[in-house]
Amino acid sequence: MLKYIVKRILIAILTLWVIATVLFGLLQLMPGGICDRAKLPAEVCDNVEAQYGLMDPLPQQYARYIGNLLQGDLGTSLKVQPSAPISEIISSKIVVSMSVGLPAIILGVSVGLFAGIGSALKRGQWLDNGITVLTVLGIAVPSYVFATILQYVFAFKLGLVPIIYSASNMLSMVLPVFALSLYAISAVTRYMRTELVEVLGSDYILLAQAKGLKHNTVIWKHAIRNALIPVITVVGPLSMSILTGSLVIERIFGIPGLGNVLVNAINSSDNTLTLSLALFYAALNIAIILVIDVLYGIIDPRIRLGGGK
Amino acid sequence: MALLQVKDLHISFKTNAGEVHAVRGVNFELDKGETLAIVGESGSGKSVATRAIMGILASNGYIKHGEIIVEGKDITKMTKTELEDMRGGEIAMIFQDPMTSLNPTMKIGKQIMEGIIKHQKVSKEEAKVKAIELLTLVGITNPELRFEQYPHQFSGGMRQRIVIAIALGCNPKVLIADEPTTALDVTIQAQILELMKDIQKKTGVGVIFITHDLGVVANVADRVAVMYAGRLVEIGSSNEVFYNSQHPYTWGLLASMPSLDSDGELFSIPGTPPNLLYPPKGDAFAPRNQWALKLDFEKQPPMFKVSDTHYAATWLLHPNAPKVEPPAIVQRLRQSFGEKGGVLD
Amino acid sequence: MEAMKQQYVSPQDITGVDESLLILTPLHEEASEKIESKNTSFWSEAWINLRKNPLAITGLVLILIIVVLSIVGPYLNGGGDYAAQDLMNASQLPSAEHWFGTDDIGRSLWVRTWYGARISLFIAVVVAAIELVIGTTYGGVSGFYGGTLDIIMQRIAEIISSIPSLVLLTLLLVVFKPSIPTIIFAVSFTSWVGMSRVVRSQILKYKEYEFILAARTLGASNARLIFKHLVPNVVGQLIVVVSFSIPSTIFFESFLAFLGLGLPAPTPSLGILISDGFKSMLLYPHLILIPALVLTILMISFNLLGNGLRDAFDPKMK
Repeated sequence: MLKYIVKRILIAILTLWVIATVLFGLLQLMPGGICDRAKLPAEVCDNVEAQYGLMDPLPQQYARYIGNLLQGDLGTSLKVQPSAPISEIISSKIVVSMSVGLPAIILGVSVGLFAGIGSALKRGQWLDNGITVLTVLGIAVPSYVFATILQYVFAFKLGLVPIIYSASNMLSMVLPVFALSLYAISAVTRYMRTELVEVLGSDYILLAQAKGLKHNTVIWKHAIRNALIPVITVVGPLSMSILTGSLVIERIFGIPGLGNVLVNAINSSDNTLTLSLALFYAALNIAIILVIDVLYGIIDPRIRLGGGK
Repeated sequence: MALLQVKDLHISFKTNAGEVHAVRGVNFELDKGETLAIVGESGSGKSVATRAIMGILASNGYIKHGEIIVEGKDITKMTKTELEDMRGGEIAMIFQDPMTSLNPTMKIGKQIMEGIIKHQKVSKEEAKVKAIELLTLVGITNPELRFEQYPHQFSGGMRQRIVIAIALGCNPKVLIADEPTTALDVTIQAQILELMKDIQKKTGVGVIFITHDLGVVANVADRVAVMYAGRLVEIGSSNEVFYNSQHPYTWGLLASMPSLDSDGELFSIPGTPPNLLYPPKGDAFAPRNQWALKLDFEKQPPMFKVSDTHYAATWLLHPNAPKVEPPAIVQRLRQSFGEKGGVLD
Repeated sequence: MEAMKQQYVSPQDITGVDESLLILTPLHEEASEKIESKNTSFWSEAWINLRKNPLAITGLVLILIIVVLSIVGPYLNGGGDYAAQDLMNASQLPSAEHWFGTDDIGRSLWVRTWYGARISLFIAVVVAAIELVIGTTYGGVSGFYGGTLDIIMQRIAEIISSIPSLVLLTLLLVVFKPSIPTIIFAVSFTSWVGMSRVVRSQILKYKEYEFILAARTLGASNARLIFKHLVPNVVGQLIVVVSFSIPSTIFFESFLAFLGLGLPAPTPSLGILISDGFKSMLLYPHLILIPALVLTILMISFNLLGNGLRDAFDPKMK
């Protein structure tokens, strides 16, 4: 088990290092650098670049870059919020994004699990068919189309909730959270249904029945427990898709979150900020995958104790 | 009074293509302490019939007709709760593949205890003591330690021993073993068969042993039922079915059984079993039967009585049917049946 | 026991049997050997399964209609030029003259919608093709050779797949401007990993099968083995993966467009049309509604078809 965790951590670090190195390479490739030599005298530019250490040989720059990263220093924003430390921008904006993203994940996973279990237990019946149609819609229809429809109907036409997000109004979070969670609900539902259907057809469920256990005991203690374990693995990609999805949701509902900053950074060519955010997103993704992998290992005795397949 | 009686059992499955008549009128019974082997190729309905006895048919399968009586109660008329009490308590089951029949995420001790607590109505502590006794009984060393382990930490043979312990923990009167050794290595097979015989001696449980392997049958069974295309074609004591078989299908099975003293030429039954979407009207085996009578194609033969314990469904037993010559191996077996007076060596 | 006996008959008790039929009939070898298994091939069986699935067929028909319209649609109404402006007729509702109405600078929404669908589909199909080539080769090699090479290749794939495509695209946009090749590159850079995993696991499964061993003993070269024997067995799975990859690429493109990171004006794609429509949603809902509807129908159709294909190739998953 320890070996498994150490291996996972090493892979995560390696991945992160590869990405950081690619980013460093891109920084070197960036057209123009940080100083516009067409407009400013060469001396000024030389001074600026020397100040940022850009005149140093590449290996030295690389070492400093990695060293700064290790200390959590991501550099400073140049255009979106001039000279603001990027780590501060991230830490202040991530809170806003999380306040929508976390409820969406929790809502998505919990509703999805129940819908998936219901669907699998009532396989082929109207409940199952109804849920299947809804999950196809939830997976196929882009979240921003949903969000726009929700906004048009519930906020604009019916006026039930505010059109635009505001931190002080809880009601303004309802639509963004719901729009964001629709995909997660559908994905978890579908996955849970597939897993549970497979488990229900397995021999050990037959044996549990043959023991004379109560129907509910068979379902909850034997079937659902085993079906839940692999479902944990979708939570990783799901969190990432919610994070990505929040980019459009933040635009539609005017939420001042991290997604908004990234879009602004790209559109205003604030390259340091863009690359740092990219690194942050990648790190977040890797961290989530790592946590899920370790969690999976702890829960599944076949990995925890080794030796099994 | 027999422990278990199956009367005129018909089971069908609803599929996209139509109704599959998997079991078409099966009768047999099982006495206390007796081992009945049900032999047949895959698709003959032997597993389906036993799953119906357990009340664990797949969701598209249903009992169309017939009775399954255990201890005077008809399983086909039981409520859900009655069925749950019956499963394990009256009839327990062992499955074919020990690699998949244990819950991978539950300690094996707990899996054994579940049945004990349900059917022996004891406390957790007592159940644990009993579970460890059972582990010892099925030949698992270090039972206290093994109790806390997960299925993946055991080999296939060991897992089958645990499955047997689970079944025994329920204190069943009948134990159904659905090809319990098919998925195991030959050496392990022998050990498991020994174990089952041993356990039957100790507990007096009635055993239904499902297999496609006549070699295994000779080893364990008191009586043998041969099944083909959803019907019994021959049933009798082991000696009778081995040494005095009557149905050409049984002949085919005996002749295709590899043995050390056979003359090297292995027989195989031509053709494939019928499609049970459209069951034939006569003897289902007739199209593959070298000794088929015209009547076999027209009319389902009844179960002819050969002796008080031996019956077979073939028109060849009709007093006016032509006398035919069974395969050499069957003739040899019959000869030794006459000589030894039906004692199996 | 007594009750049971009634089921049995003593040979002497049998009556009412046409005894003239008690004659041996010779075994018709060919009749008994006639194997009842279906003669249907892998493909026709999958097609038969698919045809039984009305949802999947509906999806297939809708996709075909949209594909045809995306090719010929622009020339049926509105002149065929997606950039042609007619400021006199700006922001019109759908009418006989402009079937889908016009946008704020008088461009025909009919032309732009179908042209946009063409571009969205084109990007998705190219990405799927790249995925197929890279994924099959990579997964095939990795699974077939196994050992250390497999371990290294799987590690690399793992690292690549843990980079979100959004991050990758962001990086690309730092260096390049948004364009069709940029988007294709960004999406296909990570998406082939899923395909390669499917291929690898299938290869591992089939590798030990007898017909492969047979081909090996006959001295077939490794490359020949991979492409002639193994890959055909994997094709069913690949079709399923592709049928899900296409809508996800279409979605990703439209998603970028919505963020303002899509193709530059005036090229339309479904995402760009939706993004533009969003700005005037409250005044002219049809400008967002029509392209969103086309996109949604396309996405749902591909998903229905994909589900149908999955069931058709693997009926036991149903």
